[in-house]
Amino acid sequence: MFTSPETANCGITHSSVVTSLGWGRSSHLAAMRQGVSGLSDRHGLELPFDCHLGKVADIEAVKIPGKVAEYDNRATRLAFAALMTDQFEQAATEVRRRWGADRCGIVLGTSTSGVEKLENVYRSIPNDAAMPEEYSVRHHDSQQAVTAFLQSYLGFTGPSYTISTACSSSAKALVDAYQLIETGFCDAVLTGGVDSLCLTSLNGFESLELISRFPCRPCDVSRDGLSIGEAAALMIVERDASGCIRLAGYGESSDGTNMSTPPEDGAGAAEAIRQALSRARLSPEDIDYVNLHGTATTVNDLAEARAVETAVSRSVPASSLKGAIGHTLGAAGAIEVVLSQYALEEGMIPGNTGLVELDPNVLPNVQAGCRDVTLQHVLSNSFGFGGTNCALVLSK
Amino acid sequence: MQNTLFLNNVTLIAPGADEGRDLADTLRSGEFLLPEEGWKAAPDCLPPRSRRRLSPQTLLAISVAERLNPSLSQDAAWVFASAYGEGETLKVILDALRTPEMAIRPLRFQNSVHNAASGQWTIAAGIRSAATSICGSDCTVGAGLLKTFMQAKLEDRPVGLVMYDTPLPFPLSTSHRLTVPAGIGMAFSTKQSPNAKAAIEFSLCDTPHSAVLTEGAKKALATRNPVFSALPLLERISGIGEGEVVLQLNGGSGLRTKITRL
Repeated sequence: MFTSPETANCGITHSSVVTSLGWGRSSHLAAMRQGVSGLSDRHGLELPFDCHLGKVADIEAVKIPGKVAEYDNRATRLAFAALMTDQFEQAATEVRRRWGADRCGIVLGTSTSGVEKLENVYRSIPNDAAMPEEYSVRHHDSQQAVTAFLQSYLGFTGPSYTISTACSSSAKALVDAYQLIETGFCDAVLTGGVDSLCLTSLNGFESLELISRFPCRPCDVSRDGLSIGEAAALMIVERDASGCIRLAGYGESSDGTNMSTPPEDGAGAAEAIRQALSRARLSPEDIDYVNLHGTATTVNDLAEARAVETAVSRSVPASSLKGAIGHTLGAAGAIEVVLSQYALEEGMIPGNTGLVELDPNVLPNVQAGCRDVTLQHVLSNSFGFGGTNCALVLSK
Repeated sequence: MQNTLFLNNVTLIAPGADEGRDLADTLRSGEFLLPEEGWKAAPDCLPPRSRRRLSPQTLLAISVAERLNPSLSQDAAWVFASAYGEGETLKVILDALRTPEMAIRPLRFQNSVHNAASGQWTIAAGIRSAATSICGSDCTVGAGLLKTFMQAKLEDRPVGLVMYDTPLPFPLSTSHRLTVPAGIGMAFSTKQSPNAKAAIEFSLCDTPHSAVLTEGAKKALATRNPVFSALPLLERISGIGEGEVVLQLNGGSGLRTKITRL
């Protein structure tokens, strides 16, 4: 896979990321090097419990342009912020010019899309009232809403749709970007992930007793749950992109056991990792760093450690970025692809922010601080509700 | 690349659709649109207790999947496509968010994701292979078929496609305006088997979405259920009309399907 003439030279030619650490490459590189966390309990949301959140600064001030103003909600603002960052919009415009609009597709991943807007509208109307006439599903809570917003704004007229498989959504969307090129349907695909903070996710994870009262500490012996974040990551995958970071292989599997808890042995995750290595034609020892899904719940961290031990090795360097940005749900896969891209380009293993004392039952080669190491192949894991697993191998 | 897949099974589930009836007759009659108060799909693979815990959307999707399953090997991938996803669960959660406690029931939350149906299906059937849940708004059918084609062709494996949407409860029904539940399933493989019903060749085009031919299908489109966008394809598969069908994709292009009945 990915060795056909159509995809051998496919790579990620442009990327942009917006998280609680800031907007763009330089702010994320600085935070990754210094081990800074964007999680804070001064989030301003009215919640019936205390928590730390990875909230993106200045989203309230983002102005959605008039021609696409009907899409205005927090999720599309996050996407627009990413579009305005690191010259991404200029790059997208150039890509459209180079290949032609109808050869440029869009596949995003999201879990909640613009449901935050629906929550606000729903809570503002009386219990027995109809939805306001002006409320539009298509522009807000449809999973396709953010994708449609970007398609409309950028004028990409190739195929577009949205992957919504909870917290593996945008990792799987990157797979589709490559598939659209390999089948010859597109020459370039805008992909990525977007999810905003919303009451549904926050109160939902609280109902499962999975929200930490502290900034989350993946892999730490004292970890006690998630911190939720919001984010947008955008990438352009193109043909003829030699020299760029590329997706070398992917694996997808289902646990088939439980909606919200992985099996203890991480069997489904291990299967996805094995598939990714096989498609990349790599051996386990070729992996230089594992970017963990690492949500900081005890069960998830242990299952992932077993999966990596089984399919890669116990000693491989690994870290989770969720102590820095929180769990950004459907956006997490794409965010972590872009941060892994930075790690490959800069030659660094990001630190496991928030780690104080490593749990002896997780992988042993996890460190709190950033390390300078030349990297060739990185494995990035994403798992989600429904027992959905996606593993990606990114190569230089 | 050879762009043909073989269709080994096709199914339509809706309130008045009789599983044993010829698909062409069903489409011509339009009786699959008969309203039935409180109708819910009842998949055989779930015990009654599990059925009570799951939304009408998930029950419908699982019913479609279990009809396809005998036509697919264990390594088949699954694509679930829905424009509206878990609408009933969303409404229950939104009601909870109107209260100061915002207390959401944990099972409701884990079943609120768009891939609740695909996740529950993999659990019910013990499936370990890839399952993807996609949305393309009004073009969800085209997107689902496109994804199905890509996954089957590039991974050289069978794929089950489950397309489903059901009406939402009030007040979401006033903004999400579909009126009849419907699920359509298709089982594809890359190699022709003796049971293959049709060979379908896929390509992109810029011609408009194909019209339906039967009165039943025309009435179905008026229900605004995005799943019914697949009816022109079902008509050709069942022998009503011949040749190509174009399914709309977001962005303005179309997915051309050239159908040869076997």
